[in-house]
Amino acid sequence: MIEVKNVVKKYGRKSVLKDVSFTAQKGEVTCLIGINGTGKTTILNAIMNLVPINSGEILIDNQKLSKESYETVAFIPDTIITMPSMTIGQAMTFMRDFYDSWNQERADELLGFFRLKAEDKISSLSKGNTAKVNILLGLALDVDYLLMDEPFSGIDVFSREEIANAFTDYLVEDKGVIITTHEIGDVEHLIDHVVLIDEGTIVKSFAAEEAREEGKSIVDIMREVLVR
Amino acid sequence: MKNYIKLVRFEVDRFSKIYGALIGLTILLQIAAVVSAEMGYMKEANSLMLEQRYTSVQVIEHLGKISMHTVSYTTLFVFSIGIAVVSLLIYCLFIWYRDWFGKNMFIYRLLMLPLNRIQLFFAKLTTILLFVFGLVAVQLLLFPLEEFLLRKITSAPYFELVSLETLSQSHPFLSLILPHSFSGFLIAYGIGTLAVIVLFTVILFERSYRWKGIFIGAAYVLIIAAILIGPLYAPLNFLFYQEIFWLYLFLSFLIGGVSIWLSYWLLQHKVTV
Repeated sequence: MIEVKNVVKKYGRKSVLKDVSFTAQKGEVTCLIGINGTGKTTILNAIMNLVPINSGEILIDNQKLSKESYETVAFIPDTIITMPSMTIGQAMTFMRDFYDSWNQERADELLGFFRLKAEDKISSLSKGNTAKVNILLGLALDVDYLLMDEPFSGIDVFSREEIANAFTDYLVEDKGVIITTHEIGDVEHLIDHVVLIDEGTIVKSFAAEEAREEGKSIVDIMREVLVR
Repeated sequence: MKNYIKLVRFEVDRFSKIYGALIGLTILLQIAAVVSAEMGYMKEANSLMLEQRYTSVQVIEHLGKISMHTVSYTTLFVFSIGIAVVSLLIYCLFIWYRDWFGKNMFIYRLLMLPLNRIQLFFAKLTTILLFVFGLVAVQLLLFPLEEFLLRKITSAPYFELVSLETLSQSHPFLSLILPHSFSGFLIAYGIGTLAVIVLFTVILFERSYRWKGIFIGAAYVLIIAAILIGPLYAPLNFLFYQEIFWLYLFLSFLIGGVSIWLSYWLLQHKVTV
């Protein structure tokens, strides 16, 4: 379980996260939603210790994040995090060299699934294909938790479908997923829990099943809460 | 340790093409320095012989003999060393900042590697030192080759053999790059390594606190300067030279240790993508 407890994050005098608390369970997909600039990316960065928090605590399976945690939690940010001069194959070799949790078989499988070529240079790829490489490098790690920040950002509808299918196929049931996305429709059927954030504060946290039972979509609830 | 070696290899690979080009440029510039020094010398010698009717003995009395000492003071030679030094100085900054800037944020990947983040610091430091010693090694290999070339293209009476040891003792640049004693080597490269460690710490201050970090880094450098300059103004007449050397060695280890600890703390707790 990933526990985010009373997290406060300030950039200068501006509070980006104000006493944010939520948990993400193993085997569940937790979706952080909210309009742009509400602190969703900051939460994911903070979980991975990529930005320091001012106060609060983040625990992964009751432990603070350590170097070993990077073998159990993978983060797919919305920015390209491989070197542009590398080929996809070299990026995969880099991952294999450093991560014990790297699953080469799955990586090769995903390479075929996304119709990517190992010899292609990252710098020569389209935005959609670079996003697929990011996702490939994240999904090919045998981890317990997966954090994804806007995995569909700037990607065409066909590629989005492919990526959403990859999530269905490769996200094993016992994995805990935290996802932020504006394209909720693409993954709505996968979501178990929703955390709605506005101006750095959690304004609503609910089970996606409840919304479905009420015949509402997650966007409907988001609209109800934020427009109120 | 295995991860550290992998990181060093990776960092070396990232700069290898530019580094190779830098070595190539150094070789070309220094060969050009040898040729141009010889041509300049012989032009002057010929003009003395033609216009003033000097004999070759008088030319040598007037101009001296040409040697690697002459070559080492040419603009091209000094420029070749200068460009290598400046490139590596710039690379000390670039080795960190390139991971943050541009379309690709490789720093995400580096900070999420399952290893102690201080290994990134040591890998980058080792890479810089390897590049420095690599260039020194190239210079050591180049010197006899350049001397051989100079001997080949210069008329025998005008050529003088100068050992690298003799040259490095008197030359302002070469005495720093190629110290003639082990203690000189320790001092020159120790100070250089310490400067890189402090610079890396300042970069990490900036990467952690951004604008505020520049001021913190500047304050940190001022404190270090005060620690190092302070003893020069203190009444240390009662200390022997050897004791002052040990005092500075202790201060250097202290500054290095504190800088590495600060870098560890910043990488672990404060650095921001």
